[in-house]
Amino acid sequence: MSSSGAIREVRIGAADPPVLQSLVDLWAARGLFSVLVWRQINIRYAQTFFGMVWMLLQPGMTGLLYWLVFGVFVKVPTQGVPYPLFVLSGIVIWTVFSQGMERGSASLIQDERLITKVYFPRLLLPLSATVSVLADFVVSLVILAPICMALGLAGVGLLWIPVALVPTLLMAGGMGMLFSSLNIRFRDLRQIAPFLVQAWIWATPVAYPLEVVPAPWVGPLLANPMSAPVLLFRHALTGSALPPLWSVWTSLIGSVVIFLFGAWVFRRVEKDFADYI
Amino acid sequence: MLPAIELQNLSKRYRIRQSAQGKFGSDLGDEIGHWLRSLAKGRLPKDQYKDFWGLRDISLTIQPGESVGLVGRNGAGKSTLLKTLSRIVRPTSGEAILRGRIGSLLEVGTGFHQDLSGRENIFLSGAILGMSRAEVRAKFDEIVEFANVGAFVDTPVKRYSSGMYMRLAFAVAAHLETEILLVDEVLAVGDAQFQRKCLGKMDAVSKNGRTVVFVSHNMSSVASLCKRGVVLDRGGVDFDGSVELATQRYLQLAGAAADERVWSPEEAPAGENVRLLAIRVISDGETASAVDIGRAIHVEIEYEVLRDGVNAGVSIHLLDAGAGVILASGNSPSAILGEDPIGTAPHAKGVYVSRCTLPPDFLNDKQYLVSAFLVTDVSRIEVNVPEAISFLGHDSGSMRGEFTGDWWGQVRPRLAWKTRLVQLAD
Repeated sequence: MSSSGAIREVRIGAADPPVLQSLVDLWAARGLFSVLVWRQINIRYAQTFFGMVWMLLQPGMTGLLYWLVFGVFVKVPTQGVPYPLFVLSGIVIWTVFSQGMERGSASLIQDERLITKVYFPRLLLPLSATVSVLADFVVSLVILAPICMALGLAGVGLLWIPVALVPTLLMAGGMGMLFSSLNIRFRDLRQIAPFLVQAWIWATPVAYPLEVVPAPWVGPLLANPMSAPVLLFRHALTGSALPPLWSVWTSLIGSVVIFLFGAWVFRRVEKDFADYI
Repeated sequence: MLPAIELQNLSKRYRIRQSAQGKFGSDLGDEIGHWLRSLAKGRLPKDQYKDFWGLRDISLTIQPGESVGLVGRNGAGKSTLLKTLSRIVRPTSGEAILRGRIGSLLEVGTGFHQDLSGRENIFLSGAILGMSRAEVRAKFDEIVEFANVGAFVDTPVKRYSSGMYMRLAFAVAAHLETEILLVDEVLAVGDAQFQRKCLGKMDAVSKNGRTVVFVSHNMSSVASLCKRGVVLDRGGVDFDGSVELATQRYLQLAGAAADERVWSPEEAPAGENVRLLAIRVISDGETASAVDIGRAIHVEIEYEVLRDGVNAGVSIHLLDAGAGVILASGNSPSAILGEDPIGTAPHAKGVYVSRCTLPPDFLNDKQYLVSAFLVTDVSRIEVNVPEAISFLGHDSGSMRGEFTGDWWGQVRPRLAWKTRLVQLAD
C-alpha cells in the first residue's frame, strides 16, 4: 500500500532505468524478498517428513567421505583438532558458498513462469535463492557449535563467524547472479557451474590443512577469496590458526568485486529475460 | 488530472532467427540438419534475423477510471502490449508512462506452488502480485470466502480439484487493489457460475474508479466490462472508440463481417445446386449491426438456385460470441411458425430471399453471431458459412421496468408467469 498521497509515476522505455531507481525499486520489494526466501526454504524442506535430516545429510555425507580419505587413510595433521570437526567446519561454510551459488544459478530458469507473467525486480530471484542457504547454515551451526564448545575448542572465537559469512554470501550471490543470467542465453552453462564448484573446493583448504601445502603454493591458495572464510570459520569453531590479515582483506575485497560484477552482468541482460526464456 | 496511462509511439521488435531457406529454425534438429545440408553443398550455413514488430507506433491515452477492452486477432499484439505495460518485456522504442500502482494479472495462479497450502499460496501469490503482507492479511478471510475453499485452506493445493485451484487463484488476484489493473483473459477459467462471479468482481473494480485494461477473446465479457474498445491489428492500433464499434470491428477482422455480407457471383460460396449471395440482419426495416432486442429482428438470406426443381432449404445457427450455438432453425414446413410456400416448395432456377424472424423480447443484450446454411433435399448441406455475420443486441428497456442489473443467459425471452395463492397464513 502506497503510504504517501503522491501518485507513483512509472516510465517505461527502451533504456535501462537509472541505477538509483533500480535500487529504490529493490528496496521497495524487500517484503517480496523475504517471502521468496521463505518459499525456497519451505519448498525444499518443510514439506518432507525428514526435512531437517535432509538439511544435514549432504554436508554430513561429504564430511564422512573426507574423514575416511583424509582422516583415516592419509591421516593429515590437524593441530590436535579431531578430523571430523576439522572437515565439517570447512564443509559447513563451503556449503553456504556452493549451494548458494548453485541455487542462485538455477533460480531464473526454475521460475521462468514468474518471469514471463509478472513484474518485480528480477534480482530478487537469484538473491533470495542464495540467501535461503542460511537456513541450512544455521541448523548446522546450532549442532556443531555446542559440540565444539563442550570440547573446549570454541569460545570468543565464534565472533569471527560474521566475518567469514559476509564474503562467502557475497561471492555466492555474485556467482549466482552471473550464472543465472547467462544461463538464460546459454543453457549449456548450467553444466559448468557444478564443475566449477567441484574444482574450486580443491583450491580451498576445506579437506586439508594449510600445513600440508608446499610453501610456494600457500600464497596463491590464500589469495583464493574462499580460503580466508574457511580458515576463519574453522578458527571460530575449533581454535585452529587464523589466516593472515592480507588474505582476509583479499577475500572481502574480492567478494565485493565478484558481487558487483555479477550484478552488473545481470543488469545488462535482464531486459531480455522474458524474450529469451 | 493527468492520464493514468500514456503511450507514445510504443514499438517492440522481436528478432526471429530465420535460416537461409526461409524456414524458421527453432528446433535443434532442424538447425543441425540445415548446417549439414549447407556444408554438404560446400558453403557455410547462413543465418539471418528476421524482424518482427510485435507492436508498432502505439499511441494511446487512458484516463483514470477508464476501463478499456483490448481486442484483436491472435498475434495482433494484445499480449505484447499488456506485457510491455506490466514491465515484463521492454519496448524497443517509444515510451509508456503509467501513473499509479500497477497490478497485472496475466494468468491465473501467478506464483502458486503445488506443494504449499492454500494459506501459504495466498500470501506467496499476493506478495508476487505486489500486495504487502499486511494487505494480504487484511483481505485473507475475504479471499478464502470468495474462493469458497474454507475447510481446505491448510491443504497443499496439489490436492485441490482444478476448480478449487482456479477459484483460489482468481480470488487472490481479484483482491489486488491497485490503481491500474492489467488483465489478460484470466476470466476464461472455471465454470460458468464462477466466471460470472469473476466478471461481477471485475465490474466492481472498474466502477471503483480504477483504471482497467482488459484483454479478451470473449466479446461479451469485453462488452460488459468496458466502455471503450481498442482494436489491435498487426501490432498497430486499428480502431479506438466505443466498445460496441470495437467489437464489430474485431469481428470484421476476425472474418465475421458486421451486419451484412454480400458475395459477388464468382466468390459466392456455392454447392452443386445452390449459391449463397448475401446474409444480413434487419431491424426496423434496415440493415443494422446494433439491434433493439425489444423489437422483431430479421435475418435475411439471399440465395440462388442453379437448376430447376431443386428442393432447397435455408437454415441458420444463432451463436453467442462466447458460448457457442444457442439455437438452430430452418425453413422445413413442420418446424416453422406459419407457412413458407415458396421456400418449402421445389424451386425454379432464380434468386430468392428467405427471411427468418426472431420475436421481440427474445434475445439478451449481447453480441450474437449467425452462421448460414443452404440445404438440399432436407439434409444435404451444400453451403455452410460459419459465423457469417454478427450483431449486437441492445437493450432499450422494454423489460427493464424493475430489474436493471446484468441479465443471465444467452437469451432473455419474455415468458408467461402466473401465481396463485395456496393458503393465507392465519
